[in-house]
Amino acid sequence: MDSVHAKVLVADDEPHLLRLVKFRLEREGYEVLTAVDGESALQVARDEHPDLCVLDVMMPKRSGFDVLRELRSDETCAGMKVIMLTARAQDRDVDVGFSLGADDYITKPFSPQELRVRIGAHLSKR
Amino acid sequence: MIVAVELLAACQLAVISALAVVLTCRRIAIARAGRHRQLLLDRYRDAVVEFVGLDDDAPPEPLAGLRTAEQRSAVGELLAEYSGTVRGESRSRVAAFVTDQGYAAAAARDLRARRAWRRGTAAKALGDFGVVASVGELADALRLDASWQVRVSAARAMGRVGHAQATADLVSACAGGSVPAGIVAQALLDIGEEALPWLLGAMASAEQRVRLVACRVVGLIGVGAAEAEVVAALETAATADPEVVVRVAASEALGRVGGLDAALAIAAATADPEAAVRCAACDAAARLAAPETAAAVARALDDGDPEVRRSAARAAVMLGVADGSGSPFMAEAEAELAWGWR
Repeated sequence: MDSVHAKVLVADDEPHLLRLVKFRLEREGYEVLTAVDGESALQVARDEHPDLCVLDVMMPKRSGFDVLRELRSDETCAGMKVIMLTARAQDRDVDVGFSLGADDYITKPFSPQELRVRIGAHLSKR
Repeated sequence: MIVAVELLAACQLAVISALAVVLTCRRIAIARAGRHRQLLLDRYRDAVVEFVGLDDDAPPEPLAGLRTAEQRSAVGELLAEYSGTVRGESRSRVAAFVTDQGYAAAAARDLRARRAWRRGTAAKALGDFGVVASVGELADALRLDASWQVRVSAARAMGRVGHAQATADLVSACAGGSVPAGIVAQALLDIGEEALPWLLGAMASAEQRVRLVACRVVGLIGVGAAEAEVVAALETAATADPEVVVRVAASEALGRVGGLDAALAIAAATADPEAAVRCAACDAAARLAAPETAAAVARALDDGDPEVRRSAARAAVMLGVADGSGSPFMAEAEAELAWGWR
């Protein structure tokens, strides 16, 4: 998929990270939507149907795992790619992320270059 | 007499009024300085985000021509904030920039400031900048600073810098008790595989808390390129350490690092005289699910301690050991597995 037309939701309660990821992805030509908690992330995902979601795990109101679980059980969000971007780096957390249906799992601190490449790779598979 | 009392009251009133004026002026000055600082942060934020987030080596124009100390201070704060969220090329680029422009040197000077909050902030900034050359100064703060909070901040910063050079000082700080073991463990974990050679040495430390931290951190880091040495050290700790907590931590770590030798060491640990160690060994066997532990797990199903039998049942289910099919713990473990316990 051409990045100019792809829509990406970034959900994170850390304003610095949110700004950094948004800036980077907008420069790549993506339309970027943002959310600062799990509940609004889920709402935006259902309303706007982004092509890909970048979700933090530890967010207020609902965790990223909760959001992922809801998205995967929602037929209207079928085919939506989800990348977890989180400080939770233990094997068990990665296990949970993939078992809930995440397409990728990136740990913080993250590399903006790596995030860009992975997002591009997942969107090109669509 | 009355005149003197009136004079005293008037003086008191004058002093109170003067004090009120001074405090009001000070408050106004602080508020103005805060607003000014916020304006500077807002002015340079986009440039810092651009510098940290993109792949260009050259900093954006607003960051190149800073004239005042206030501007440099605001940019330094922003660079520390944003650099702390990234790794890889972006972080290396920021580290080179803050070294070249003197931000790292300024923060290192602040490590010797009179006020503890300022020293702690400087340590945090150095960690966020990720400048390897600052590890020596941070190590000095870790060793010598009188403030517990500054030492903790320095330890965290050394982990954030992520260079093996910091490992020996962190282990020493743990041994001396100058910072909590959990803080040191997280810092060592942040350093990662490069810390392994020092951690192997730390597993033979005379201090129990150092051995404990070393075992836990090694289990989380993994074996890296030194698999045989790491597993041998963990095996020694799991089976021969005089402290139960260390044997427990080493058994758990063996379950994480995996491999044939680790499985054999776990099997040996299931015969430990302490139930807590036998429990940890059975949990590690469940995690590893290696057939080499099957006989030991089958024996542990008849252990005298119910918690060991429960852990052994979980391992038996993972391994497909049928010996304990009559045990109530087996049904519980099968239900847990079906529910997704692992």
